Amino acid sequence: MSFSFQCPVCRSVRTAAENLFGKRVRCVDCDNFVIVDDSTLVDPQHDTVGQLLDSQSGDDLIRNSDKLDSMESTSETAVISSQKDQPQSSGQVPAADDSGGGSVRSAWRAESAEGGFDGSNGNPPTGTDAEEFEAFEMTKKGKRAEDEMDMTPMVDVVFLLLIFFMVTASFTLQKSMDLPTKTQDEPSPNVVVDFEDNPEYVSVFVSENNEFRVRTSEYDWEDAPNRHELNVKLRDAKEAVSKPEKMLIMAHAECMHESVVQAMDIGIEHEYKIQVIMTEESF
Amino acid sequence: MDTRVEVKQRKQEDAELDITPMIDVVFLLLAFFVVVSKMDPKPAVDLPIARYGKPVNEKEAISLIVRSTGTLESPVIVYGRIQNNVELSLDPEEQNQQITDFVAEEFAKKPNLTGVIIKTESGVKYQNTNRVFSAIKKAFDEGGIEKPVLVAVEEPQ
Repeated sequence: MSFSFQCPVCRSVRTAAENLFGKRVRCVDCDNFVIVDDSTLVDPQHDTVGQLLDSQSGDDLIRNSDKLDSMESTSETAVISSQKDQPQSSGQVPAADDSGGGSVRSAWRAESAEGGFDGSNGNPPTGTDAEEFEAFEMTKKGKRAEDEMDMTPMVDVVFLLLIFFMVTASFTLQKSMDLPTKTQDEPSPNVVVDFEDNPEYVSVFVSENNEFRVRTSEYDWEDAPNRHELNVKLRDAKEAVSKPEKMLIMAHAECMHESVVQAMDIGIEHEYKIQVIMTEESF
Repeated sequence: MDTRVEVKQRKQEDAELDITPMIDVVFLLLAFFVVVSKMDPKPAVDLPIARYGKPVNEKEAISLIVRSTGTLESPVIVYGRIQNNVELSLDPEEQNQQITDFVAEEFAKKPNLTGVIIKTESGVKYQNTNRVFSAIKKAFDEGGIEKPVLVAVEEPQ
């Protein structure tokens, strides 16, 4: 599960989790990064106490807690440390211990959360945990660095969405046409008479069967069965000698609203001034 | 060690800073959709298709919807300004009077309205559009209003 190694810089002996073998770890005592492999491997029974006596100069909390962990690697030093600065009774489950130093407890909690600490035997963590804590710290930092980098693809995707919606969003405004109808309470044929011989006008009749008929100054009523025919006729009418500018749509009362709108649409296309009247006669 | 604490704090600051562009983008999206989305749900009307319709601001005009349901002589006419639609009676004479009253009332309240839009569905006979038009004109003549009467169309896809 763990192995011991000697830091080549400060010569202190430490233990580390087995999965860190051959990797770069940071020495708790001198903060240097060392690669732990065969060349640094030592027997954990030797030198341990001597190293502990070496490293008594720490003053800040993290360092103290690190040392505390290392001291507890042997049973005698565990007693010493608990007398010195961490009033901690051995045999207690560390996560429930409120009297210990904050960082020590957090390290233990992290251990038990990772499953590295076997709390069932009721012993406080051994010196192994100090190195495992270091390893844990490092992976945490690595993960945090990845979190920061993860923002970029998300922003990319959000921009992609933005572009997508900008392209697909329809800015639909209600479209409409002016309805230039002569006011009339009763449909009367008399109105039509006024336009009949007026060369300024092109007349379009919309029958009750929604068929178009066109009359210009050049010819009398001619059929325009569909909108394309009507289009051609109105275009040609524009070329006539009289140069008609106005268009009279005579809509039969029974014709569809749709057909009248169609006739108006074509009239607007050829730039006629449009008048619409309703009639009950047929032409 | 002190250095370790410093490194930790700096990393946290970096993480907070990185959120800023995301919030920018999200706000941009929010503003975009607020501008684009239409808050007023419109009733679906099957309008005739025309290529040369002019855009009109519906919010500043009165809309009258002439539906193809109802009888042929008096289709269902719904009126209102986009929301709060009210159905009119099925009797043509009563309908005319209601339209005249409604238009006169609306223009008395809001003289700045741009006009009246008649939304006639495709399957309605022209005489109904004409009748609604006459009713609107009556209100205009009585109130001395000179505003355009428009027929709503739809652009071809």
